[in-house]
Amino acid sequence: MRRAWPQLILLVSILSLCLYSQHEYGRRHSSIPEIEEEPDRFENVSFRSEGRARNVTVAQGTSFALAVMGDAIPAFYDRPIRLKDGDHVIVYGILHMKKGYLQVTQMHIYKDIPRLYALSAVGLVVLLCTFLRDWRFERLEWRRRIA
Amino acid sequence: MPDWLTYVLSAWVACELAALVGLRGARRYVGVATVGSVLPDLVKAFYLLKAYGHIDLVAFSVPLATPLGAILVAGLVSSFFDRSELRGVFAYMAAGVAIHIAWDFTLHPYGGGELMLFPFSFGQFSLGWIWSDSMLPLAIIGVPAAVLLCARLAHARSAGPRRRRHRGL
Repeated sequence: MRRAWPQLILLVSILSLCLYSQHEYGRRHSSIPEIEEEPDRFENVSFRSEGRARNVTVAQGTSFALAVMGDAIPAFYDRPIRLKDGDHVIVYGILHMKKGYLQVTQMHIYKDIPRLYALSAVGLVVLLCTFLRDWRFERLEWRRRIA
Repeated sequence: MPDWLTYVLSAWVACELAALVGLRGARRYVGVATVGSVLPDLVKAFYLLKAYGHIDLVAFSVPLATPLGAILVAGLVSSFFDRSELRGVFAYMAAGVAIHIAWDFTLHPYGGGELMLFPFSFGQFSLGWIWSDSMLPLAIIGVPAAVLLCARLAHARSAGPRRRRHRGL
């Protein structure tokens, strides 16, 4: 019980930061549906995001739909690149929402996302082995296995 | 972000180096340092929530990956440890958090950038050296990790079975 107050203070502090961020960060960064709802506001505005390329067409330029967490925005890059459907990309560009697309100015295609996930899974296993070797959960707190 | 193996190995290398320079008990806290090293990635759970649960709390979760927010989370997590260990646990967990943020700070600028001064500023900063899918961070930390691991194994072998109860990976 003696620890309840510090825990409560820390929890309230974290939640306060989160609520502040929800208000302020949310005001500075917009989701794709928000951008599409207000094309005038988002004309010639810089845009940066990470997602998957869908419906890729490569001709003199590269056009695709950038899918970000369930939403998608049409995008155009003025040079042909080796982009495949489903590639994980990070793009930077300018929104032309009156015409309904994103003009990509810089782009990076992630080479091996499965490798990143696989290494992270290995890291998680190492973490759990290391942590659970030293600590056990008992009477509502983590205690050292060998004191 | 680099992969979690990079963060975990970095935390281990930091604890080993701390033990080598004479910081008592550094090896005892390897486990909590590794937890601290992935703690700022709690924010990724909110990305998954948005992608698969269609609940958008991404802006709400942003502070968890900032230096101040992550240190507060480390403080909260530390408070669930044995009271006698609280200070050590918090110190090493915070060191893990610092390692994570240091790695993320090296990433390419339009790959994100750290909100180093949050909540005073929403400016994002990064060194722009590495893409998050690069193997370079793992290679950089893998070399000292391999050297330290070999040294530990050689030391344990020469010291005999009684010395094998040392903490570490």
